[in-house]
Amino acid sequence: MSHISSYDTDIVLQTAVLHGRPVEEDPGWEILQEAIYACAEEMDLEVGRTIRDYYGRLVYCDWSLSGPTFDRGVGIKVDRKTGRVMFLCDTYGGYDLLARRIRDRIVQNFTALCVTKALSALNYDVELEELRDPIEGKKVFVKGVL
Amino acid sequence: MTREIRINIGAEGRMTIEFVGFPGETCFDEAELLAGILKEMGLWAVPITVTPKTAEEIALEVDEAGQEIDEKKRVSHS
Repeated sequence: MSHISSYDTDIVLQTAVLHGRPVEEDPGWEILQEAIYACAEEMDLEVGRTIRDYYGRLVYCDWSLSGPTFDRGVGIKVDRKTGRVMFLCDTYGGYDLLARRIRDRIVQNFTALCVTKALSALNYDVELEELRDPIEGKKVFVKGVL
Repeated sequence: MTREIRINIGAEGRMTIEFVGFPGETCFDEAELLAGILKEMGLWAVPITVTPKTAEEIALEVDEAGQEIDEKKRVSHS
């Protein structure tokens, strides 16, 4: 029998933390970094370490994404105790949608990278295809054949 | 029979995974194995729906796989 399942996804870098190691040594840390840089390239943003709130005050993060039309930026911070990945942005003034799009793209890229690596680890031959839909945005199809 | 895992990742990171060509209950074992590896990497995949395929869908998969094998045999004989 075969089946189809659907999943909600969340990012929690817990593997290293559970073994008493710093979260920067987690297998997901570099994957998350790769997902963030890919998002920056796709959405024409710059990667940094700070975001700004409504009053212009700096907030330090593990990574941040901002651009000329979005200087406030979205921050990505990993909780050192739990490994939970948090997305930070002061959305006051109409930045909700953009902040949400950036967050979603990072999660999508992270998911695609993890799935590709996981299927390879299980010895599948992996193919990846990306499609751009003007309404639904980017869609990623990954196929593993054994 | 070839085994395939087809994964669609939507714009919000939501995933749909289709398991093709897995005999018996082995697709559920493979799903668990995959979820375990993803969790180690930091991706928590929380199941929303699990839909077993119908007998017709499975028969179609087996039929398609049979045709593929026939084609490969034809190629290797020519």
